[in-house]
Amino acid sequence: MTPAAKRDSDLGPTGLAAILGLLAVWEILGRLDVSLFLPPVSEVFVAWWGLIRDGTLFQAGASSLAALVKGYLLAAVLGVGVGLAMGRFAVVRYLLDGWINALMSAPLSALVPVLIALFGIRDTVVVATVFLFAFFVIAVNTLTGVRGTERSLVEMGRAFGAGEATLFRRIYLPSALPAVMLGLRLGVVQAVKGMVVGEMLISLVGLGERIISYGNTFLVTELYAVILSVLLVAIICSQLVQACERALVRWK
Amino acid sequence: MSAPAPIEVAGLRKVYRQTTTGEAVTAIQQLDFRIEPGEVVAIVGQTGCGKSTFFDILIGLEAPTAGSIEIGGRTPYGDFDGFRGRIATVFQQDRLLPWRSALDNVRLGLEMLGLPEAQQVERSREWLARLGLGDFLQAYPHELSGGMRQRVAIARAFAVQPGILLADEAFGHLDEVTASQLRDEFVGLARANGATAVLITHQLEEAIGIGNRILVFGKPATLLADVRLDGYGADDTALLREAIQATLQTNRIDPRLLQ
Ligand SMILES: Nc1ncnc2c1ncn2[C@@H]1O[C@H](COP(=O)(O)OP(=O)(O)OP(=O)(O)O)[C@@H](O)[C@H]1O
Ligand SMILES: [Mg+2]
Repeated sequence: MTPAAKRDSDLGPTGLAAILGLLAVWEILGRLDVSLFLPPVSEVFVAWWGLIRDGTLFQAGASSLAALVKGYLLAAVLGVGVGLAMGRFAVVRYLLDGWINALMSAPLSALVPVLIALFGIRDTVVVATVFLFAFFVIAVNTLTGVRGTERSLVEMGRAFGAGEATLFRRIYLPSALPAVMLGLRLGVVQAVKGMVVGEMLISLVGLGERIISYGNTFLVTELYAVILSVLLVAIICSQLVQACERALVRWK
Repeated sequence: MSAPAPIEVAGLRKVYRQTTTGEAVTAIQQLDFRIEPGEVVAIVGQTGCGKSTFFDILIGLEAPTAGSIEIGGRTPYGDFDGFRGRIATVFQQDRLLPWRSALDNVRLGLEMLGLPEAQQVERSREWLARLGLGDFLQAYPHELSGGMRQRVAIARAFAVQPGILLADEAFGHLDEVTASQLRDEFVGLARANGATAVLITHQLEEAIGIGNRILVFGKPATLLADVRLDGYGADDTALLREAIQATLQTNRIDPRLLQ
């Protein structure tokens, strides 16, 4: 592994200093009473601890994570599958290219009411928004990876007698793997976004519902604590996928 | 090694249709010759004269527009599966799979032959060792020098134990010392295994150093000259050059075609 690749994910001393600096500035501004909406960060941590102790965070978090995992796994399986199919079969590509491009640039939050109409006000809607937010970036990255396979390597495979199935398994698939993993990593961050958006819109369960509730009742420290929790979930998920990526793609 | 069989090229013609313009491009005008089992043949010709196209048909990746190439009475483009493992190629660039170690790269052809895994590993290890890479079995291509990578590619070709070995400008991008060293190894190994070897090169000098026979292609490919080198000594380079140019002249062909 190159040093550059290592640096871009590990939290080095500089990154740590930046975060500590940011927290310090936040604390000072909070203590200066700049705004009601900017409480000192120490109070946010106290509120956070409170939410952990009374179980609120775990209850909301468990519901959120369940939806996140379901929606994301579905998006990963279907996204990679559709991306691979589009990459290998021109027919599938022609059929889906327009749809994927249109939906990818569409404001997906606007679709949530449609989902609510479809599924009712239920946590299934959250699973569906998670899926929608993550699916496209995964599919498109997979497609790009397959299409980016070096022609010369494919020809080499053919010259050694590979049929279509062998080419796919031994050349296209491993060649696309780094792009697939990148898609999965970008996808998981999108999935967290989708989770919060979905929960905020149905206002029924999960961390997103807590955000709406604390926002409406001006419990600002609790609001920040939940937002930080969401941030933490996003970072941890992305790091998990990145760990898989590193284990699988050792040759880059 | 699979059973030696002659390569018979008869009335071979290849016309490509450009996908974008629809224009017809004649890559091979007309080729007729026969390569005997165990011969080491160099093909020379200008860039774009259809040398790689000839290989593509020989490997079975392309079908001829007219005429045929038969190996032991069968056509590679008509019987793709039947020829698996009988012909192996070393390309201009190493074309190693960057995600595979040297060992696993050499295994590729053996996987396609469906050999048992232990045998794949054993034979790959053997060929890498024979090419001086016994200590680099687990190295990834990006950890090897250009010359070493090309050695892996040579090992990959030989490991399938093909009756016919092809090299398409396989050594041109390396420095001269490494290039001639690898070329000699390639030809030496082919001879030692009783395989037929066909090497494409741009340079007449290189062709002279290679084997039994030089085929000179015009552009688009026709057979300009078919020179047998048997009977000339190792130091007869100048003599050979003259002989080839004389052959070209009798055929009223400008020798500058080769430069
Ligand atoms: N797949 C293809 N589709 C269309 N035209 C092609 C294709 N492959 C080769 N050609 C054309 O056929 C001609 C011969 O190409 P080829 O690659 O066989 O030449 P070459 O002798 O190997 O050249 P070089 O020495 O530069 O490698 C060229 O004009 C090339 O543009
Ligand atoms: Mg060529």
